[in-house]
Amino acid sequence: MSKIPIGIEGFDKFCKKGIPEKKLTVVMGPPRSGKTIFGVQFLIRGILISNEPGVFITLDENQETVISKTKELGWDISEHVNQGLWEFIDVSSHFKDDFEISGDFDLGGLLLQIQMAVRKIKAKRIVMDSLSVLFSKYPDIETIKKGILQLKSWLNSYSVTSLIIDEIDGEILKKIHSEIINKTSDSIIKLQNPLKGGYRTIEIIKYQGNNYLKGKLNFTIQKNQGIVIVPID
Amino acid sequence: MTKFSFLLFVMDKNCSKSIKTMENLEKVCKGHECNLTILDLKENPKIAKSLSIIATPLLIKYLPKPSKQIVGDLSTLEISSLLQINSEA
Repeated sequence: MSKIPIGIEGFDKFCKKGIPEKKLTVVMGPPRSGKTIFGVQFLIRGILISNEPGVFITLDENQETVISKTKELGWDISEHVNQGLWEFIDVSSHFKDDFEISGDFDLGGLLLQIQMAVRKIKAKRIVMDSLSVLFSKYPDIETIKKGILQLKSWLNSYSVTSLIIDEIDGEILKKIHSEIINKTSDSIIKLQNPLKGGYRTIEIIKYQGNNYLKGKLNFTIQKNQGIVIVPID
Repeated sequence: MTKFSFLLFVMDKNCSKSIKTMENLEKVCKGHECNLTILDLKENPKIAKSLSIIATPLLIKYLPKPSKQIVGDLSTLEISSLLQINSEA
């Protein structure tokens, strides 16, 4: 199985050189656990280390917010946008509009936008932030599952590795999301941010081929580096 | 009789899903004047990006005001929902 490095040194070693190439990995965790940073880092490192263009689909925050928050961490997304190595699909405004759902629908518009962006910059990595926001407006498990599977097979044919971010907040949502995630993902990574202090943690809870190390790693978020694994003494 | 104006975005205007959506809309609007423009996203993919379209079919009712967006094949649509007065408008 070929692997693609995420760009988090200690963690790439932990999962034996990264995540499965051309496959779908879900990064889940509660609010403020570092999920978006993980996604941005995956694309930035793809550009800087492997010269692989990336598409970032943002459903919640608009692209200006993603750019400015990332700037605080010392990363300059705008530069990569200008180089044609980073493409935004910013559909955050759509998620502020009200609409009604009547009958069957599909995610055709989103898939079309992703296909255009991938072709435009010849992307090798994509990140969608987040499944939870998509589900909040389109609460139909079967439709979302079908859309993700369709997207997955298209991305595989274009040799694109994808990462979908999912916010897990509350038990009911957790159950619904796991129905979508378990049926569609090849790997799942879980981030946690302890409420009472201590380190943030990262762990693999599903991995294609099952060849991975179990257990949690501690991490911090640092300027110019993003997610940094704390070495085990 | 109400005069309606609609924009309908579909993925392929000749596919059965799109035809079913148009038929459902026609049924709901029977007896009313209906001005419908259909936009095929397969033929005009850039519209999906410029209007941030996620789900299809997507119907936009822009007359009578207030405008309203409805996602789906309209199989459960009622005329009252198209005539509904939005208090925020």
